[in-house]
Amino acid sequence: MLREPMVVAALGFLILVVLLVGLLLFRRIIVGRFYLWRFQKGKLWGRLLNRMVARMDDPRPAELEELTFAGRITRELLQEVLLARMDLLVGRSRLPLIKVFRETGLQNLSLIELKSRDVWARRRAADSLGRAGGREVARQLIVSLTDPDEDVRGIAARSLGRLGVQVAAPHMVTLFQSLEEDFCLVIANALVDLGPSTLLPLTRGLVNDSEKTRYFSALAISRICEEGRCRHEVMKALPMRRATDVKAVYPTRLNDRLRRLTRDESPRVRRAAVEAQASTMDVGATERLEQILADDPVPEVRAAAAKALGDMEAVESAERLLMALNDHSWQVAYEASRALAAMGAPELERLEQPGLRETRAPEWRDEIRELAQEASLQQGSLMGSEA
Amino acid sequence: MRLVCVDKDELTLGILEARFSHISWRARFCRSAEDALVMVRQSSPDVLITGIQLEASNGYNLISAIRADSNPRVAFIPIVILSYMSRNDYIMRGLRLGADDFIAKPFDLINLENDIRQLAEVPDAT
Repeated sequence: MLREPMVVAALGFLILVVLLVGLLLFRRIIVGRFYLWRFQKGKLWGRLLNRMVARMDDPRPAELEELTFAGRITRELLQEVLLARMDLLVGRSRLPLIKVFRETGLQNLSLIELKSRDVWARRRAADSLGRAGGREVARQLIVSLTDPDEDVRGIAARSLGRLGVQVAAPHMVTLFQSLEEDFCLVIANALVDLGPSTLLPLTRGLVNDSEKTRYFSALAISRICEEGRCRHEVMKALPMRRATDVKAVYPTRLNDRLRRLTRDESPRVRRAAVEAQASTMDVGATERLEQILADDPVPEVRAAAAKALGDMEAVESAERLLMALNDHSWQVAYEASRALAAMGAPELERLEQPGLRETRAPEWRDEIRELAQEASLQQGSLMGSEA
Repeated sequence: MRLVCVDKDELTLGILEARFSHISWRARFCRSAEDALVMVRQSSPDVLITGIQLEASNGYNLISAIRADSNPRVAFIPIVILSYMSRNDYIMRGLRLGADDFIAKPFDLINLENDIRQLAEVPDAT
């Protein structure tokens, strides 16, 4: 009687040990082999793709045959190997890889996945189409801008930016109000990638009811128009028949809307509008910027106004900038000092005037002098290089 | 054309290797600054291509070590930085240390070749 349970327990223990050993062996042999195979296959495909890139011509039939994937796992592996190379290269060197993506059927499968019920599959497809697809996938990606999943919409917008699909810009601007901040930033960057031709929809975005749309539109405009190159670029980027429309819209309507936006109730919208004014070199806005520097309750906005006046080299605003050196916010005083330094030495000499000497914060004078010296040195070296 | 290429990223090295061998340029590849320095001293290449992030060190240290070398054949080798780290301050730091050119990733192989040719003063074969 006693022996029977002992035997059962021993047998049970033995079976457990055998199962454990079997599991370990399975993991070691089968899973190990799978990873080894995957690694080798990835290496092989990688070398093949490198050779195609090196030749810079169309993939040969034998190569395409070698790159054929058998199932989901091999497909993901090929996509991984291919996309890694796509991310590293631009220009002509990328063309063979785009052809591989198209001719092995990866592009079509991604387009099918874009309509899948699986959210992860849609996200993956939207991403890979942006990284590797041709411009013919634009329409499907534009459709994905209305996807119920927020991530898919954001990824599709980024992909459209990567592919340079300018017709998608108005749809992308409308997305600002329905997405999280992170994705809005992704879309703003995608619009910046698309360039000055997106200014028309962005200008419309400046008067949108949604605070997010107004803010990110101003932010994108500011980045697109940096260094005052925008006016020329806008004319260059658009076809001639549209240039007259643009003249009507830009700069007047854009500048008017930006000026109006500097009175927005949201501080970050006001700041973005001020930055955009500096980027568009709206010299007619200096009076308003001076007013912001004096009156705006938020230090970040006042600091942005000081920086904008410096960027525009608004010498006529020097007096207001000198007063801003006494601002209780260090940010405002610092930006004002940098702006003054950018204007050069004559303005700084005014600091030494007896009436001003007592009222200006002394700790900033040295800072300004250092910045001015730096600025004049830079100007000197630039003039030297021009000569 | 003789080159030394150093980068932590195996993918970059693989693509460069395939391209350079396709156009019959002799290139040596490594992943660490120490190995690159040895290769440069051994073979005095026409151009050195370096990344900023290398194994156990960085491209800036490598550039400084090369420019400070007592052998003028090593110290005056043209250097191209090829990196994802393309912010102005990274570029300026590399150029101040003595790099001759900076090419940002993602990059175009044709542009890279043209820049190398210019630095090595070799006329374009095409």
